[in-house]
Amino acid sequence: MGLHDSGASSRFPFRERMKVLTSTVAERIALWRRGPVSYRDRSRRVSRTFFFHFQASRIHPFSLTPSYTLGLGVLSAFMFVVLTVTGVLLMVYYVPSVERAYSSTADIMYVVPAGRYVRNIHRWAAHGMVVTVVLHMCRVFFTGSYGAGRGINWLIGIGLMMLTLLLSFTGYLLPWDQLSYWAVTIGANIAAAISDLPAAAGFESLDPGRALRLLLLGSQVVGQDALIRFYLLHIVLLPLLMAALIGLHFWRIRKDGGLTRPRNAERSSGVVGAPGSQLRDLILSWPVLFWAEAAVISLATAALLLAAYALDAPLLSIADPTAPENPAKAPWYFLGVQELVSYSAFGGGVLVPLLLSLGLAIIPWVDREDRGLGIWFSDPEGARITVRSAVAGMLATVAVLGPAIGLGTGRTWLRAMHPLIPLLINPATILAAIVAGWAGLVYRTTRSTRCAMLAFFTATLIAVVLVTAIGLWFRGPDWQFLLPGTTAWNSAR
Amino acid sequence: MRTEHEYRSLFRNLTLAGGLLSCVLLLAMAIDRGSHDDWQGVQRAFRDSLLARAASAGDSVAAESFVTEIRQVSLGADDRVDRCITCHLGTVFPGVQDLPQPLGGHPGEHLVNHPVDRFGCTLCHGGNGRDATVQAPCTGADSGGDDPIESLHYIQSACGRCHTPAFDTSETAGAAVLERGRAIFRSGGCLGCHRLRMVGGTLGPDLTEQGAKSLSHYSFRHVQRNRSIPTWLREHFREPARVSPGSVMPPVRASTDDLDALLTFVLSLHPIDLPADYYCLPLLAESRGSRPGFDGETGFGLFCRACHGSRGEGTSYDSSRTGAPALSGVGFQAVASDEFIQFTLMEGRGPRLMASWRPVLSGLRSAELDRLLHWLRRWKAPVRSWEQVRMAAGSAGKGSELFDTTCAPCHGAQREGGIGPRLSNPDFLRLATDQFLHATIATGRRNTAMPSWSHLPEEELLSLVLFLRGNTPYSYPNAARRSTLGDSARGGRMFAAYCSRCHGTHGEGGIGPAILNPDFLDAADDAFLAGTIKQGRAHTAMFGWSQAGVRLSDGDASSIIGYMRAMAEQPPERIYSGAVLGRPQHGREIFSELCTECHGVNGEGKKGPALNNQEFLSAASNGFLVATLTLGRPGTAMPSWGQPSPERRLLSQEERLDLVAFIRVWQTDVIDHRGRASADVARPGLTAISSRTR
Repeated sequence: MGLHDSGASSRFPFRERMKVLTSTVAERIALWRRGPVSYRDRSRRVSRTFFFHFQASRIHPFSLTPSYTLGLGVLSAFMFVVLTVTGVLLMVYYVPSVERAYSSTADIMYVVPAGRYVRNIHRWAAHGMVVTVVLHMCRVFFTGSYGAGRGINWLIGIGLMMLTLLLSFTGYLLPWDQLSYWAVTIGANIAAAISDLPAAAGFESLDPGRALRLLLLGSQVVGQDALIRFYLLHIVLLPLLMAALIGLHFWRIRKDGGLTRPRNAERSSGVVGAPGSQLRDLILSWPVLFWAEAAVISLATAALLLAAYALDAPLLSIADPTAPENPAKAPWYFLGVQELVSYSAFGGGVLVPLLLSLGLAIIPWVDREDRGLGIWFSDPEGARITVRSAVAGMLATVAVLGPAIGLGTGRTWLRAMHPLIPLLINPATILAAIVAGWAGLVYRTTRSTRCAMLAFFTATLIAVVLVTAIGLWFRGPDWQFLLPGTTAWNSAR
Repeated sequence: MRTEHEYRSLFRNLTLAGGLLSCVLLLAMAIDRGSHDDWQGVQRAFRDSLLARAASAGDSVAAESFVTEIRQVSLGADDRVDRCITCHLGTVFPGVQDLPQPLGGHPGEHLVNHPVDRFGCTLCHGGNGRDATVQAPCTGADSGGDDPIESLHYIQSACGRCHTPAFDTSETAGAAVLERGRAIFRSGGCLGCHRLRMVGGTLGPDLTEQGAKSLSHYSFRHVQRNRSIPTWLREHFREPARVSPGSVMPPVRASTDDLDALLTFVLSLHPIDLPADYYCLPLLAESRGSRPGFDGETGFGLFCRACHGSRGEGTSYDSSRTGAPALSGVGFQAVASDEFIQFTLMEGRGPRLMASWRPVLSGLRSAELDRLLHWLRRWKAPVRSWEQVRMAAGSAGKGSELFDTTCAPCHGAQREGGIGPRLSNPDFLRLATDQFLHATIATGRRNTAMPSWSHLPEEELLSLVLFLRGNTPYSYPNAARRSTLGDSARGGRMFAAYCSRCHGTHGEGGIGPAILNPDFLDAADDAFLAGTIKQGRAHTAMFGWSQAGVRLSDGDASSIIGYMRAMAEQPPERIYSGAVLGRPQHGREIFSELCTECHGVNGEGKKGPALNNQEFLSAASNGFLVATLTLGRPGTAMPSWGQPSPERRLLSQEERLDLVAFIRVWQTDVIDHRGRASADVARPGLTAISSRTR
């Protein structure tokens, strides 16, 4: 009975029903293979699928421009996902006790099927995430995408960057080998350098650094307490915070109207980045956006697999508190800090990083011009300023660190003066002052806060990169300045 | 900006490319995991060999039941997991010994007593047992991180870990190289600076766990060749100051093979971290401090030889930063008393390299120190008895010649005395028996300027006695040698009242000779003492106490003698330096003229020992100093200043006493046998200090 009723149905009811069913199934398969076609279906594919619905169902086509975002945001988020998945896999075998941490890691590397690859992926994804997060921040800055009311999201992003560094740092300790142990010892000691200020000012009894180290390590030395604490942070607290902030970060992007775009991309509204751009400027996300994200994910997967296949995550000998590494180096992203710390623990380790973080955080409120939003380097003047700031940053770093390195680290004459002086006047603070001065100079000449911020950010970026490079490649045993490849480097410990 | 369609194609192609690459890589990983190089490949080859053998032998059960899996030995002892047998299957499978490595069996019969399931592999061979991949440890030097596999060249160090005690000479079968190394260690004086199993010096590192130290504990900054522990040790033995800047360790002069043996021994030194049933009993006992058979010779070999020379000949200041004195020479042995050596052992020499060997610091027991002392004394010629000496062929004429060269520097050319007492005094000769004269000459007087002459041949000793005797016979042939003693407490009070002003508060000598000296009281009989006290010595400051002044009775004299004999039994509180009889200012001039070239401008030691050292000055009495000046140290650079010689000038008795007075000015601390400074000092210019805590 019904629409498909035909003469034969009364004689072969089953066959008829099968025909209806198969034709419906065929249609469904055809539909599935082709994907949604109608506007409504494509829109609903995004908004009614749980795992897709945080994406907008309509986007501005400019957002797809590869050279605009370079896919860095997606890349960072993907790295986080990879880290979570591989991290959970590693948790199956890893034991966070000082007696078994190293041996369980060694077993993962040598015995667990595919353990070596899972661990390698985890490690290279971790380093990769730090790099992509920083590059993402640079992209957001240089395209001015903190403007137009997106300051909160910029702050969330800075918070995410701090979380990334912390996650990487807490994870660094878990293998419990010589590299881990001494890197974390250095990190904790740098944090404890906060005590230098009250001590130099004469309040020796005040020791916030000791309290901070106790908070961080659960003890004054790196041991079982630190391991459990770091493990807890690494697998529970920080990932939860991270996930929450990532969710917030994505939500704010939606609320702010999607990715930023330049004014001339807004053909009809003329209002940059305003929510509710004219509908006709937007295209449906499905399927292009998802192909774009799939491309990023796929290439990132291939890169991670290549790295995991070709390079093994290091595993030195088991941590030996009686045998310090020489040189003992913090993880590479903290080596810039360590280099500056070698001149002044408080200046380079506490004061300047805090000032830098503060400086980064307030950028959206210093620069409210929304100038050249959505365009890399804003405009030709901005590009010029950027290039000049890069050069200025390089020169400043060389000018400040050159003599500092030449003087060496055994500076006895520093001890003769009042301790507050080297605390507040040292290569780190001098460099920071020069960068601030340069930014001020640019503001004076251009009368533009955007240019000033470009100057500040670029000079700082170049300085950080150079200082990290010095700490990474030019510092040998006893923190001597050595050119890479010299005999002293090769044969020394 | 491209069209939506263009973007879609672009991204889809990128996705496919990335996906393809990922698949290729995953495939590569999968292949790599099961590759020919990995342990699965090795086990498959093994299985093929088993099958091939089974085919010829007709029994394929074992071959077919062979499972490809990781094999490991877990020793709960120190959380060791050894996976070597995953590839080295010949060690656990019977009947496949002849297969090529790694599948073949373990060479030798070691596994009979050291089964793999109880010992694992890394306990003896080192390396990273947890690693089951092939390209790592087993094959080369670039292995197991900080604990690389031991080269088979030094494999005997593994035997030593459980089997070979260091202070014992028990043999370990099959470990000849290790035992050679131990012998070198035992005779090299290494523990003079280093420490091992709770004994030894504290200048160098503790060696008890040296073999367990990983690469991180060694600094390779100054090591020329490859980064391995045996290389470091060998270079360290050859040139310690270059490999460890600031080290004062003298180089170990030995052939390369001997150095390898020595480093095999050092590598065998491990802590006792396995269950007790892995170790042999002597080693367990030794780790708890038991050292049976630890005699003086062992002690000298272990502690002293590196600085004091293998035959006690000392080391020169050219080859070593501070040099070390010769101990075996005649000059030292004749002049140094047992107390001097004992004091030196217990107190050391302060800031110099000679450490204090007190039990609490060195870990040695008092009995072991005593044995060491006795062994050091064997370089001294034994004192022969008078009965033996009087049988020799000597004459007074020979004695006269001998006297001029040997005794005159202190006793005067006409026997009129000076530093030493007047030997021509008839009162003295009437009281002194021949035995007394011989005993004095042969034994000497400890801690005074009279050395022991036991190294002289019997004829010469007899000749001297005959010469001294001359024509004055002993007058008391029937006198009792030792009588019952009087009240020694009363005698002590009388001694303090009458005798101490010339003979010293502790009878150590001053204007008069040392009379509470045990050597003196051993030689002197009561008649000698009584006679001297009552009649005195004509033409000297010793007047007869029974005649002049106080008029002591016989009972009084007996009390004093009783006190003297009682004091001889007691060990003294410290070494009394005796009165200063010279003029320091004159001594300073002589010192700056003659002594500074070797002993330094302020006596700090340059090519000779430090004389301003407080421990030395507390150990050395003025008599020691005078005797050293007079005799010198034959066989070393210290010449004799009392005996005439064409190369240098002779120092007269006054000049020698002046020098001693000057040297004594450097003393600021007086250290007693308990290591504490005493306030009981009666010397101008010397202030007593508060007790020093040790």
